[in-house]
Amino acid sequence: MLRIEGLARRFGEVQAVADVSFEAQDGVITGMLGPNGAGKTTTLRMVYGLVRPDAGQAWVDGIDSAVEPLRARRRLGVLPDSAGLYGRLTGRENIRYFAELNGLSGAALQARIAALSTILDLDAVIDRPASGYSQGERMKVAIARAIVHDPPNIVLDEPTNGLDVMSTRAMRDCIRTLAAQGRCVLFSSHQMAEVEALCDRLVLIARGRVVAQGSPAEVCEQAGVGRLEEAFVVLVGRAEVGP
Amino acid sequence: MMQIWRQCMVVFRKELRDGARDTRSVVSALVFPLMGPAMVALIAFMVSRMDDRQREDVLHVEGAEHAPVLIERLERKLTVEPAPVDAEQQVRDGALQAVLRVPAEYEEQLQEGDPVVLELVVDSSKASNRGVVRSVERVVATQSSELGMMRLLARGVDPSLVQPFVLDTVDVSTPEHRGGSMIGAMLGMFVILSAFFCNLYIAIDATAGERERRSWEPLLLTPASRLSIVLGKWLAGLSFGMAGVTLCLFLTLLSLPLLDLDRIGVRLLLGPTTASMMLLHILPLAAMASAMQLLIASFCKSFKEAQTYLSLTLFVPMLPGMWMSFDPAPPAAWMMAVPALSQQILLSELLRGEAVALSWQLSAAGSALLATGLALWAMQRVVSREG
Repeated sequence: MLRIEGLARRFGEVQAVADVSFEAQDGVITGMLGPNGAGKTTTLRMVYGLVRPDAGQAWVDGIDSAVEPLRARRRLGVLPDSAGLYGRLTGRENIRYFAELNGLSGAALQARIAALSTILDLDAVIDRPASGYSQGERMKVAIARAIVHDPPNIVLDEPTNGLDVMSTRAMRDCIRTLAAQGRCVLFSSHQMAEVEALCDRLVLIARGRVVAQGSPAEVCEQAGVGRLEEAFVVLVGRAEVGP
Repeated sequence: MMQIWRQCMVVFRKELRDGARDTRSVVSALVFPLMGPAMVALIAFMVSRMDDRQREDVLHVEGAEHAPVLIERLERKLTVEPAPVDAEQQVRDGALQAVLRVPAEYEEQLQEGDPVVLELVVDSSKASNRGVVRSVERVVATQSSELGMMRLLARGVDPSLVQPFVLDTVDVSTPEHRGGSMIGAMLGMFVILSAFFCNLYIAIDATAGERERRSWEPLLLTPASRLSIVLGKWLAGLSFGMAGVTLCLFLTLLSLPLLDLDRIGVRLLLGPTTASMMLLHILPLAAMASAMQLLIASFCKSFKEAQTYLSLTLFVPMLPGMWMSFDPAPPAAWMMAVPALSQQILLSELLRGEAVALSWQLSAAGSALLATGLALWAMQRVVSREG
């Protein structure tokens, strides 16, 4: 479970995140939706302890990620905004590197990689150098690498960015499976259709603040409109104009 | 502690594997060490050519028949041939090196005690003619002073009266010293440069390269401590650097018997024992090189940017070697506190067969290791700032 309370962070003149609080429950897919530059990536970076918040806290299963980042990361699988692979290593070696850094080794490690390879349909390419991968294959290996240590919490930053239709579908199936296993899944997106197709809960962010949260139906209700896309336009529009 | 070590080894193994598959890293680590032995061979070749050149010098003489004794002496130093008719013009054209004109009145003037004017026609602007001029000057001067003394003796005067000073140079240098000074300084410089150059690409690839291919953030998101990431990358760079140094020394060791340095009067005290000692002296410097280059490259966003800055810094470890070859200053204790300079001196002394105080060796290693520690600490700070 992820709990975020009053997070704020400024970079020079820019208030990237002003005040963000929400919770992402286990077994639930929580979608963080917002226009480009709304502060989604900065919020997530504070969740995994890569950026220090000016104010507020983020807990991963009760561990403050600013205080104990290494402990928090053990319970966290992250597909970050930039998810580059090592091109000269094979997919398997890429995954193994991260598994070893997470403390896995020996037979357990091999079994885990084999299992992930099957789930993500990587068997055909896993022993080829990553430099030759398609965008979809690269993303799958990045996912495998992120969840190789079997984390109870998973954060995905714009996971379907740049993927074709087939890969996007595979990614969505993967996200649903992870949540069905009882994990807490938080992902960010700026695409309405994606969020609508996947999420149990929504957190709408604009200009560094949470402007609405709840189930898709609740968010529509808050905006006073019938469709999620309209709700997005109305709520984000309000935030842009300011109070 | 155990965990840091384990994670560090994971990073180290991955960087080695990744580096070994990178053509750029491998080629630079393999090719640069070739330059050391190549340079030694080149210098040895140049020196031996200089020796041969002297024997190839040709002097053309006009009127050789008038001065058989002088010609015989010249022939010991040079090849003497009769001058053609248009000798002076041929010297101007560069076809001949030098022409000596012996006047027909040579014998007569000698008998009379008149000065004999010998004319040497030469183009002194050509460096290749200097050897001939020097040889002729020496022979004529010797001949002249001998004859002068005999005339004084004949008149009952002690010749030493006209020679108030005698300069007698006692050269105490051994062939080891002479060889050690130039070739040793050169070899030392290339060994030191290998320690800096051979880990250059792996240092860039492991930092700026990670950023460029966007794998830096995922790596920082693993539960690996920042320290173990830094140490693992540093060890990988150090391994490449030391591999390059070893290769450079090994190739030089192999090529020495082929070079025949004895022929040019140079002896380089490089055997397996000296080479191992050199490796030991270089190890702290290679550690420093790896740490410094990682630190600089970790500030850079792209491979190109890091490459630019790091190739500029490569100039720094070259300075002591250059200085030592052109202006060999006597080693002083303070120099042991300057990394690269201290190693340059230690290597030169080893090759000259000189013993160096243990305290000097320790302070040379100590200062390089101190710099290593500082650079690693700074690098760890840089990495930690990002999360």
